[in-house]
Amino acid sequence: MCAKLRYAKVSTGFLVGINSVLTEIEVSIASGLPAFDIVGLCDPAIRESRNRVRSAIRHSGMEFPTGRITVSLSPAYLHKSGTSVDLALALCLLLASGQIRVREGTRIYAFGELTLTGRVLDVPGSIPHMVRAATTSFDKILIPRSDIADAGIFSADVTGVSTLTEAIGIVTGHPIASSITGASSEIKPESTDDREEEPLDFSLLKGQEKTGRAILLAAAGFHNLLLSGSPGSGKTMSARILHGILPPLTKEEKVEQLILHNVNEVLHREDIGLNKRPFRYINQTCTMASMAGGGQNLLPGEISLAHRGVLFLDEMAEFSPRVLDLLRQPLEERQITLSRAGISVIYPAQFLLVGAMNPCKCGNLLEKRRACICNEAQRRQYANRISGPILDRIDIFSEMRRIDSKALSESVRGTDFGLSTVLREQVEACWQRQYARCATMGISPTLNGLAVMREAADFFRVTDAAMEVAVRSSEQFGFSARGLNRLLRVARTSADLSGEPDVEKSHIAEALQFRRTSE
Amino acid sequence: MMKDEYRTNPVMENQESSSLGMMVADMFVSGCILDHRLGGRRIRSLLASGHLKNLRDLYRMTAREIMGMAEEVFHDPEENHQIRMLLAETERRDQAEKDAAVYLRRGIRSVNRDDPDYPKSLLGPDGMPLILYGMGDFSLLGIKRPPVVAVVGSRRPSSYGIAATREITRDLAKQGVVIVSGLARGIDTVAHEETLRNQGRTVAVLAGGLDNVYPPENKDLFGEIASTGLVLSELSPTAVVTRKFFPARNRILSGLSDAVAIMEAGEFSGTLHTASFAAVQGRDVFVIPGGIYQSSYRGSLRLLQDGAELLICAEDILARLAGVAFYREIDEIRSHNDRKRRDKKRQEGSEPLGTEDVRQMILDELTICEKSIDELSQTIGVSFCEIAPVLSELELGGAIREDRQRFALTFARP
Repeated sequence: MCAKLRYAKVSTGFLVGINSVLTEIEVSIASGLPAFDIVGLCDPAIRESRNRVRSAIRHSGMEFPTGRITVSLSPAYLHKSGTSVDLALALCLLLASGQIRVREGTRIYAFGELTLTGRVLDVPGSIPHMVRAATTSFDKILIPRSDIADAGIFSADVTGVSTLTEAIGIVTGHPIASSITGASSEIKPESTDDREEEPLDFSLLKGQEKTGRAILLAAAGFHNLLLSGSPGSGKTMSARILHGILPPLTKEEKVEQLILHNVNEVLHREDIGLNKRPFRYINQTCTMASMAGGGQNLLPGEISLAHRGVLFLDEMAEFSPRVLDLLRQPLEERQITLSRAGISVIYPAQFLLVGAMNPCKCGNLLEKRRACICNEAQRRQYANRISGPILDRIDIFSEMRRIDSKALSESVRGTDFGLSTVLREQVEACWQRQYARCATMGISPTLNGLAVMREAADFFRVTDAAMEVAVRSSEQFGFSARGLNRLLRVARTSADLSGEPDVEKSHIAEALQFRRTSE
Repeated sequence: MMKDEYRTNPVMENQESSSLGMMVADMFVSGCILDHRLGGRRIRSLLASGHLKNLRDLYRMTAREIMGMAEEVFHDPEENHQIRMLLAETERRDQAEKDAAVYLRRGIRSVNRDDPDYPKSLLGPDGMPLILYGMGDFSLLGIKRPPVVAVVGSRRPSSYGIAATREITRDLAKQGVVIVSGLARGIDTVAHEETLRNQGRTVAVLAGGLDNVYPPENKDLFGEIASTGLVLSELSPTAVVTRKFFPARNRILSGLSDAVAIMEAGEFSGTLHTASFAAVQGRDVFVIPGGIYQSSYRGSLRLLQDGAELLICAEDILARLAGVAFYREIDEIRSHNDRKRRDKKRQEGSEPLGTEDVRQMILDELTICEKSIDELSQTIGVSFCEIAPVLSELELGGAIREDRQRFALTFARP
């Protein structure tokens, strides 16, 4: 009886959003007419794995078991998709059919797609799988060889395999020489020199003092920024320069990044390898789905891919209002919830919004040498393209004009090239000051631009005199409560940049220059 | 009742009643002047012919005496008949007596050309009013008067016009110049207010009667001027203003003044009447220049083209009035020294520029033309962080304002 009913189980994972769900693959082989059934709400990609697995097993010199085979993936109520179960299924079949043996109670975790010849391929979401596996006590964790580089980040005890044969060797305890483990020294060394010079240096902003300062403040306090300027005045360049002066990713942030980008298979490994924050350049053709994320697999959208980095919206006024309005919730909650067919996932979306727009339709409104050909109605209409709620969440407004030839030649000559590196250190120090202040206040470390606070004056340590100026100016310029709050935030960052404990009148006065000016 | 009092009380006749008597007579004559059957022109003829010695005699003489006089001067029987009809209306006298008492009690006085309080400067030009009603201090226009300047302009002025009026009026008033204007909306109001604010003396010449202040929103201002300066009108206090009186009022404005300052005048502005009266009366006309695209300055520019004096600052007028302007030199020397000190500081780089220096440099730059913050920081050579707080402060203080990301002076300079 026992000989007739053979059984084995191996663990694997599939993705829900950026989370890997632990899945058990059970294989039961009973005698009877040959059949192969997979149960547990699987999509065609998993059903097809039968064919891949059959071929891979034979190419590895093993037998595909005969009999009535039932494969069950649990939890059975979740819809599963993806090809990551191939490797685990193959191992499970071999274990159940008794072709390979392990010690009783050995827990195996494996994921990876198989080719017909038994090679193990990388799958999306390898990092979440690894992270998930590492937090559970498995005896053996097998991952595709190509993902082994990422394993070093978590110092997980995993084994990278490139073929099914290797995997069999690892499982049975007779490893073939070519397999490598996460603990071995062959892991791609992490780049230590992540401070290399930016191609776009801060010194290029000569003659654009206001925007230069705006960028520095935006980076130093993680403030959303809107640049309004004539075509060719350097808005995109400014956004890239801003990206260049952001401090490098911390280790935890880097893991987050790897997970997010890994899931979407649009990983910029070089950037993350250099600890650079993401920079997502978006233009007006962006759809709601690609902005927010979603689709069949609930993949993260641009706002999540820009997490902890820069989301640059070029020609922001040309965006569809619906796409822009979609930013409201993420800008407030710094995350986004996507739901589909009973599953909902939460992606982080803590991005630094940098918008660029023309001041008017023809773009010459701010220029001295060229006349704006828009009429008053057109101007007003253009200025209203971005809805109030979105503008309300932007802390810093700056304008840009084409610089004259003198300043241009100075900026190209670039006598003080490398300014970005200096400023990046200043920004980093400024971030540390903000974290330290949060620590003394007993709240989780937050940057000024992300802070949600009720008693801003106390939290930001605004002096009475400065507060008076702030209140007076918000009366004069008609700020809302939110507007006053923004003023204080930016002033706080200005004070932090110069390392001053209290927000003084001069900081408020400086911050005032970055207010939104109505037409 | 008043009449009885007047006739039965000899003491009053000598003192207060003498002014009452004069007022009654003047109001009666004013009525005759406004009535086309006699009119100002014929009364002037009577005075010129020597038959009428004193204007107030018209009230004191009987109808028969007047007719005898008229028949000698005017020879048209129809006209003389009209005059007779007019003199037959005895209620005119009663009305004058009644009104005079009321207005005298309110502080309104009348003066005619023979009175010592009649503004001395009106004695020169032709066509000046025979009678003036006034409230306040007549000595402002008396023989020992300070210099008098009329400040006039558009009723709907531009912010530039208002700013210029403020500045020039203030500087004139501080030098003790009496500011004359018409209590109209716009520039006139600004001129009066600015003078009062600087403890200066001002004279308002109304087009209508003093009991019918026009425009009504200036009633308070009227009261203030009457208590510290002087309000004048050619018409009896009861007269209600109509359009035709405005140009006539303007001849008094220019007549009273040593110089006329035109702050803002469009192509068909009534202010231009004042200017042409001034030219006829031999008064200097000073004109604030405007831009060629400002239609509200078309008239001003034409005046300049026709040879009016260019008015840039109050000293232009003061220099003319006093002959010398030593105070101007003092100011110039001071600002020159300031600039030199700042330039030196900047060159040496040893001592950082103070906020006050930066503020002054910003204002200097913006005087030339409006500039963006980047342009300011480049031309002045001061970083954004230094310049931004100063700009905000100036904005909050209302000295500058932002328009399309450029800063411009509001002209409301402290």
